[in-house]
Amino acid sequence: MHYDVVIVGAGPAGSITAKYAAQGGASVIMLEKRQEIGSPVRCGEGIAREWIDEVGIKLDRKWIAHEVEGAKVVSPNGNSFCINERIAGDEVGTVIERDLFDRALVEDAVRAGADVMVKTAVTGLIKDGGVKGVVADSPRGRLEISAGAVVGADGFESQVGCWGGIDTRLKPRDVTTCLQYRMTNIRPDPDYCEFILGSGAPGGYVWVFPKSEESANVGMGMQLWKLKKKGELRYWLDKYIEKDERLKGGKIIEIVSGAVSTCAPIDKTVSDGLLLVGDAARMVDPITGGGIANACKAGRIAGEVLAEAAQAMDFSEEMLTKYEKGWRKRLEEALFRNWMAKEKLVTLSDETFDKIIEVLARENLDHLSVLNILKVIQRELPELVEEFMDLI
Amino acid sequence: MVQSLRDVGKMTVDDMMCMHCGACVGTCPENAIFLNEVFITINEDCNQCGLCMRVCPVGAMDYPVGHKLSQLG
Ligand SMILES: Cc1cc2nc3c(=O)[nH]c(=O)nc-3n(C[C@H](O)[C@H](O)[C@H](O)COP(=O)(O)OP(=O)(O)OC[C@H]3O[C@@H](n4cnc5c(N)ncnc54)[C@H](O)[C@@H]3O)c2cc1C
Ligand code: SF4
Ligand code: SF4
Repeated sequence: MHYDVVIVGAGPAGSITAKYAAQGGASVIMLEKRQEIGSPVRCGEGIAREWIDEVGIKLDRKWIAHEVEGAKVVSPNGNSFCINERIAGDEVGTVIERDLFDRALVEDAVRAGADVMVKTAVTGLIKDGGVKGVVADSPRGRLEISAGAVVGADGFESQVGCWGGIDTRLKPRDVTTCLQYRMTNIRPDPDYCEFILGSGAPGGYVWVFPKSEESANVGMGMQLWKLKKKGELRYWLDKYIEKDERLKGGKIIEIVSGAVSTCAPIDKTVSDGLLLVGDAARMVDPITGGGIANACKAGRIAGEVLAEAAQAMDFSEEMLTKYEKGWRKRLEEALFRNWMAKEKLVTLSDETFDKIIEVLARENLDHLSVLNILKVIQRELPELVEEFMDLI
Repeated sequence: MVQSLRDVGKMTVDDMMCMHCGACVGTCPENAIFLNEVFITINEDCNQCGLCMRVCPVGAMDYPVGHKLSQLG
């Protein structure tokens, strides 16, 4: 078997890459190790409406669970401020059914001409100079598929990069581990996606993303280096849920676990015959832990470059560098800035969070960005400026 | 001892607790863990650093019974 492009993983990054590559005339196959696309869900399911046009996704009621007005950020002492969804970033606006969303994106890719195989786990790369294909286990036995280029769209657990000589390993500081319950019989604020700081989630936060008036995704993310004991995260999440009145009597109808990277942009995402995209390329926003938007945005650029490469029959590193330049231009500055800000945030005390949220609650921010927040801090909390100096 | 506990070389995984989420796979500094959708294996590159145990959101990973760092009861 031969394809211009073999994509490992049929999550959002893989599907959008597949769609644009196939649309541009490349022969494409996606290999997905799960037996069912998108399931089990590993996500808080928050996305914004504003970026989906950019990657050619049409809003579809099928995969929308609930819509919110914005984000509510809650400080350790219970104070909060709200941000309209238009300016609240890539994760706020719509709470989706992620399994249906992933399936819809795969269907789009197939419509564009891509092939797909499920329950097919890639176990290694075929190398000869550069990367020349993949080896996979499928229900029909072992497969070898040769390719012009292999795309690592294999998510947080990515191994394709390491197998192909691109180091994507993470420092414990840059790993956030997550546990989430989908709860029902609760009373979440149906109008806001909530981000709750402090609350016994050292170096992370609790989120409550409503899926209806009486159900929500309630999750916690914590930095790996702060965790010592086995299963500690579950202990902290259970403890939080116990003391949030709105969640009392709630029933857990789904458990979701996983991890995200919260690192600075990595040095390299392409080599001869190999390209990494989405969580595999560590493109998650280091502050929010959201990664669907960046996976899709980079996926579009990857797909377009791969289509061009297929046309030129040139999958060299030099050719694929167009992708690397493209995603850096689109995403790198914000990723880097948010990583710096994250490094700062994890050092702040509950009291400092309380102070900052208090002034932000008074301000009427028309645009929420790290830069804008810093300006407010500079003006209203001069005593903190020294702490934030390296960011300003 | 728990029935679902399985020795995977230098570490132990509880197959009943494991969510197959891949948090350990992406964290392993030796890239030694493979998750074939629902089945964890660990190869000989494992250096027993314990990061997979600490990152596991549900506490499914541990050192083998009898290891001095094991938290298995
Ligand atoms: C608990 C949690 C909550 C989150 N909440 C949000 C949120 O609210 N909003 C947001 O934007 N982001 C969120 N994220 C992050 C988001 O889920 C990811 O950024 C997003 O899924 C990245 O898409 P991807 O396509 O790069 O990777 P994935 O969606 O992880 O897809 C990778 C695919 O590759 C497959 N795969 C892996 N290895 C192989 C192999 N060897 N062979 C074949 N297939 C393979 C996997 O099965 C998977 O289907 C959350 C993450 C977690 C863990
Ligand atoms: S992190 Fe834990 S739950 Fe997730 S795959 Fe590894 S052992 Fe299983
Ligand atoms: S103990 Fe360390 S090296 Fe061994 S599998 Fe776990 S994370 Fe990898």
